[in-house]
Amino acid sequence: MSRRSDKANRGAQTSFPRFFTKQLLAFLLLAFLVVVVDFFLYAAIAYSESENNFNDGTPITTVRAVDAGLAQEDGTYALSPEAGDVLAEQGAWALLMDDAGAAVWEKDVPADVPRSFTPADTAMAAHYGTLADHPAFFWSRDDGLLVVGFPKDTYWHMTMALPASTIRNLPLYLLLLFAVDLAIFFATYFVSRRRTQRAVAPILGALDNLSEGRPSTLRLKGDLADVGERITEASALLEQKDAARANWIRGVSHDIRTPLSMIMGYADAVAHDERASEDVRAQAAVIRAQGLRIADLVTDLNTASRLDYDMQPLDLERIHLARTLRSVVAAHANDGLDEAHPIELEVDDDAADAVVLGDERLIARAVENVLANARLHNERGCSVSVRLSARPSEKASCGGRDADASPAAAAAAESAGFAVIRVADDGGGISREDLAALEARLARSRTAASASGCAVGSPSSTATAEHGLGLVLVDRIARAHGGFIALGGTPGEGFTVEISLPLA
Amino acid sequence: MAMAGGFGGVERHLRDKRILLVDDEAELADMVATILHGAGFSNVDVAHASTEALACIDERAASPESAYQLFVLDVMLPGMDGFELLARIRGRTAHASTPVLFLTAKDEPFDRVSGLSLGADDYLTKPFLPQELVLRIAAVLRRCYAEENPLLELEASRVNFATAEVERADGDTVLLTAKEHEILSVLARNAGRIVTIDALCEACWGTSFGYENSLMAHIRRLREKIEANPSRPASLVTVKGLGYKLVKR
Repeated sequence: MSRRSDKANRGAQTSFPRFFTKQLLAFLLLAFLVVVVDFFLYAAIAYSESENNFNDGTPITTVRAVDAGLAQEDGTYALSPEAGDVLAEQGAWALLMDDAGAAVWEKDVPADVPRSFTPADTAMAAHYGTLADHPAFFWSRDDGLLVVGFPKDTYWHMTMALPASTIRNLPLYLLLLFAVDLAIFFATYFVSRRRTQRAVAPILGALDNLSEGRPSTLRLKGDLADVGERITEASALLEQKDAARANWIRGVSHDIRTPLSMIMGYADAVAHDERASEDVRAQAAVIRAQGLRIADLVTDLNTASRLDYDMQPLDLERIHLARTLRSVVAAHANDGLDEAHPIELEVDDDAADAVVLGDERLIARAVENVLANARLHNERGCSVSVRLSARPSEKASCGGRDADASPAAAAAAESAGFAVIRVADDGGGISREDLAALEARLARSRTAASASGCAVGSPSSTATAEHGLGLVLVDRIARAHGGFIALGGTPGEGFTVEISLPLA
Repeated sequence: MAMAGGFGGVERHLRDKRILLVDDEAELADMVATILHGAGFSNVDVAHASTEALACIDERAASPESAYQLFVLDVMLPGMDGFELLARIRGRTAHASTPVLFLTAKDEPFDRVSGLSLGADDYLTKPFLPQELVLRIAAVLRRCYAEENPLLELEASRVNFATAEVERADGDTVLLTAKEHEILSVLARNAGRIVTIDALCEACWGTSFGYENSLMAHIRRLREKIEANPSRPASLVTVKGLGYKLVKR
């Protein structure tokens, strides 16, 4: 049935993008977190490095130690042994330059280091922090400039000069950096989101098909190709199962007919056998009636199964409803089995020629089911009236009742209105609770994938159990024709079923 | 077990029709045979397979006196199914138009269509009630074998279908028109049962559309001919909302 509700679509179409949006946002959050963690790691490493290298055993302490240990006595310089040890420990050397640029004291100075300096030499050495490629550190004293050199390649020295405007604009640059980062984030996010949606849309469509019991074949390119293959496989598997189930139901409903014929035939013989006692004949009549009921159930099950699995498309033709109803009611009267439930048929003048597009067998089946329902629930007898009327397409007149009707039904209602088959009995009726339970069951069967499956499931109350598959099938048939059914009734005042079918 | 007879009363001239029943389920075949015996049919044979059935048919077809006059066939038969058997039966000149009724455990429109298009006269879906089977068989036989004594006894008149004459209880004799004859025969074939106006129109005009008023006019005139008091009919009664029913005396 192509008119099955599109219940699942809306949910899935918003939930999937939401899921992926959340995933992407989580990734972005992670990226931000990484930056923050990096910053803290950097700070920690920098701190620990400076602790290690710039407090003791570092150039600064060495320079200070030499400065403290270097003293002038009687015109000559001497270094304290402790300071000498510090220098030796580092493999470093030292010299003292006077204001004229000549080395006035030196210790362990390598040969490639000059001993006299022009002011330019001094400036360059100070600027680059090297003296003849040796990392060098400078200390200004009253008596000159102390230079402590270290072995080549032990220290890097960096000088940096930035325009003041650059520093002033730094916040702006940071902001720009941040903005560009954010833009990249969002661009990535939207592109991924669209790509995800595009990639997911066919998958969603295929899953919708599956959930509505239609076969779905999905061929995808790229990374998701195997997802498509798997859905196709799952669909084929489901189809196989459905076909197996439908075949099984068909097989059972076929195989049960011959033994049932014999049960009903012999029960009927006993019921008519004048040699049997009154009691035995009455019992045989009960067996016969129950046999008929089983026959009805089997037919319903088979019909429901065929509707579910679209085993055969609806055999649509123009049906003259009054005629169909006359033949159904006349057949019931001609059976002559059931004098306790007389049926009256009334056809409104404006519905005398009402024609609907439908499968006559199914529509007859629906009416028979409603009649059987009335008989089943009023064993002591009741009269049943069947009335065919036409309802023009007025929104107000069908309001509320057809909330569940398919869009096709709404369209039909707008074009030509409905033919209404109203079957009312004057029997025991139905309590408000039971009516509600029954309607709930019908509603459930509409969302369930299959009416036959629903009938097999455990019904929630005795009332709905009693009504069995019968009314569910009526509802199913009505909806298959773009129509709907409405139930009504009060305790003691009978039960009514209205089948509305769109007029052709 | 004896089956109680008299389902709706099968006319005497139909009871000696030679019937062949083919069903591979021996017990069901026995039951159907018992039902038919109970309903008064005295000439019922049973076969359990298509080949056996064809052998019986050919043996009996040698003489028109012994050839079968009705076949009741199951659809699902081992080997050759009922449809094929029907085709074979139709292929024999003696049975080109012998009535056939299908007994089927299938409940699918396709089977009905294929059965009827092959030339079956009716079908009955299992499970069925005995009286239904007897009614269908009687109806098929009535359609196919004209009554030897074409007299219809009614409350206030006697209708002779051969001459289209109505002998009224008050001594008058009136003639039926062709349409009235047709309508009355349809009702007589289904005596005691409701015939819907649609079925009547279809049988008499070939369509159920647009002839309801004509039908009512014909019924009115028919009543004037066969009823003592046409405004309070005792034989041709109206079943409100459905159609008409002929009540025999």
